[in-house]
Amino acid sequence: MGDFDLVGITPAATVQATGMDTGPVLLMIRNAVAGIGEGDVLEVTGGDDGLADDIGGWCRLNGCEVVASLDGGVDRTWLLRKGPTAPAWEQPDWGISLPRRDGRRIDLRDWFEGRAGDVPDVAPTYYGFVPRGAVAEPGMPAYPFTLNTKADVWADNIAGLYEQAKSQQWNASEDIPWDRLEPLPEPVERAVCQIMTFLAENEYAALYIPAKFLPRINARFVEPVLFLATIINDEARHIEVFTKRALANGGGLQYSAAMTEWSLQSLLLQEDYFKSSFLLHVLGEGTFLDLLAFIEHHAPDPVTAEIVRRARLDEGRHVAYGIAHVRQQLRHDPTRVEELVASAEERSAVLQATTGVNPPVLEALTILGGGGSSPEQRRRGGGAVRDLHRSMDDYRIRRMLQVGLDLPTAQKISQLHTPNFM
Amino acid sequence: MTTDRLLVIGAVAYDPKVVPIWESMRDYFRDAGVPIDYVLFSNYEAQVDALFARSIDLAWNTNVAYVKSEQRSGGMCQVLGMRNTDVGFTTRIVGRGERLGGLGELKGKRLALGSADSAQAAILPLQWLRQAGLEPGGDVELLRFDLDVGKHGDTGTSELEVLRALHEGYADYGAVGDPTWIRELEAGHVNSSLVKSLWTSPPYCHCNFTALPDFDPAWAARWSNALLAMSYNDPKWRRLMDLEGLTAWVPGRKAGYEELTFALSLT
Repeated sequence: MGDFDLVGITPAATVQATGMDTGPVLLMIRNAVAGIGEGDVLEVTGGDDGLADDIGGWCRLNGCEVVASLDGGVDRTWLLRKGPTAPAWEQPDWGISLPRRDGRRIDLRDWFEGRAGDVPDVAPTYYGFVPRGAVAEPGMPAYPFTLNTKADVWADNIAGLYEQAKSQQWNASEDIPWDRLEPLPEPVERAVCQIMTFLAENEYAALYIPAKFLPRINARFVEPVLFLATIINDEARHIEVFTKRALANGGGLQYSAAMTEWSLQSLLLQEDYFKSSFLLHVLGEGTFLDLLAFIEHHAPDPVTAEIVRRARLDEGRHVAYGIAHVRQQLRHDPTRVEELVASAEERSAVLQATTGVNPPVLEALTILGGGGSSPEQRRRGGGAVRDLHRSMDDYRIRRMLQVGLDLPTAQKISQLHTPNFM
Repeated sequence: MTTDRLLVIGAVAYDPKVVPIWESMRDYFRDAGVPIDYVLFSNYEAQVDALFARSIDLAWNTNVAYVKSEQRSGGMCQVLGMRNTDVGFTTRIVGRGERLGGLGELKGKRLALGSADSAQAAILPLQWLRQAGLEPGGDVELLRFDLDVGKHGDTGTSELEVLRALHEGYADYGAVGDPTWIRELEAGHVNSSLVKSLWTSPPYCHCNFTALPDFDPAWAARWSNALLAMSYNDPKWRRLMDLEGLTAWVPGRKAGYEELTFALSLT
């Protein structure tokens, strides 16, 4: 091709090779070619005769063509045309500058900018761990993600919940006033230790279940992944703090009822994230909010009160995610209500084969609610526990109405809910 | 019809990656409606023997194996396809110092060569030395890395030894194929301010799919057309093509093997 034919060629990009060794120049050429379109021309200036041969070899192996080699005196210039099989990359963003809140904070709610902010409705599995917004080289392997649609995992409040989760983190070693723990009457300390045993046991489930689903979530939906990571950390802290309270004041870990394990196992074995989210976050952790409020209200010491107060704030975020997530799923596909009813019925059927009661926990709640173990205190405590069950049922129904269920359905599911609370 | 059995292709197992390449090839040709199976050999001589014994239909041959097949068939073999990177293949004489006007300038120097049965790193460079009027081993001291003999240089290990000899200074020049040279340059494994490409050979052809002269032409055409339709832009086959080192399959050609044919006729 003579020079005459080249009139009108405008290079799409230029690589300046003057004074550089060949190896780095070839790397620059590869990256520059990746960023231009098929048929576009890359200009390479500078370099010597040795570079000429190496550019030719590189083009032969990489689907490009040397369309001209111009001798400009001191330096030479090559024009390379990108062929259809040359390395092809999309264009990454440049020039993004996230806003600051209060002039300094960068909030997750504000990071939905450019390509990074483009949350797809359906995500292919072959992006793997490529950060959303980054440019992926073609030919990536598929990952074993199974939650690949936004509707599967998303909640509109997810970024705000993640910010809250970070700012409300606490340390079970430092932030609990352990030095204020005084000896309690033995029946009361036994009741606290039994309740702490029960809470810790349930929190294992609340940790393992999101941990099981997290690696199934397509990494395009990173916000739910980050939020689930905070849930997992919250539950780790809860297991720690409840166990510590049982061991801290002369008592120890107490009894575990088979019914609790049947209940938690039925939750762990649920493989559908939508159903699991409803059963764990909306119904289970929702019911726990009322249980923790009851324990805080009747706590015999400030340490126990502070522990459950902090745990309840954490659980509130998990419930808020569950409600928003399930509500959005149902808006997306209202017929899935049937699945929720079915999942509650299935679980109830499993628990039919158990005693349906947890005597040590029931007695412990009664003693706590009455402030002691005398007949009068037990009578008063029995009344408080009956009130607790009523308020649990009432709030469970309200939460389901928030999710978008109708009242009869919500009442039906609430009746089916596990006597284990979670 | 010939389609009542699989078309059987021979390939040499020069690296563990050969298995995923051919598993993927089998998937591709099954999808394309021209199903194949493959047989792996430990060396090209055995593969060529199997081709002539008709235990395989096609041989995925190096240029040396192809030329030997041609010699046995009286120049009548069919070539059913090759990689785009098999066309325009060159040998580089690399080393420290100035660009070479010709290989005559290697007189009195130490030249590192790859495996004795590698066209690009030994057979053709020796031929060009003779053409330049030099006696290999006499006028030019040879440093030979005869690794993986039988694989015809496929493993590339001998060429890496050539580059190492140049970096460490116990050879003045070395012969390597341009794919190895370009790949090592780009990967940053070559100190390119020290070791440079100083001479580039005339282009020649490298691997191809070789069939015997009487292989059914209709079956050959159907298989070739399927091969040529493989697209680098289809993510399903891209890994296979990356592993095999091509971005497109091209029609087979018999030109581009003349110098190698001549060099091998002398041995």
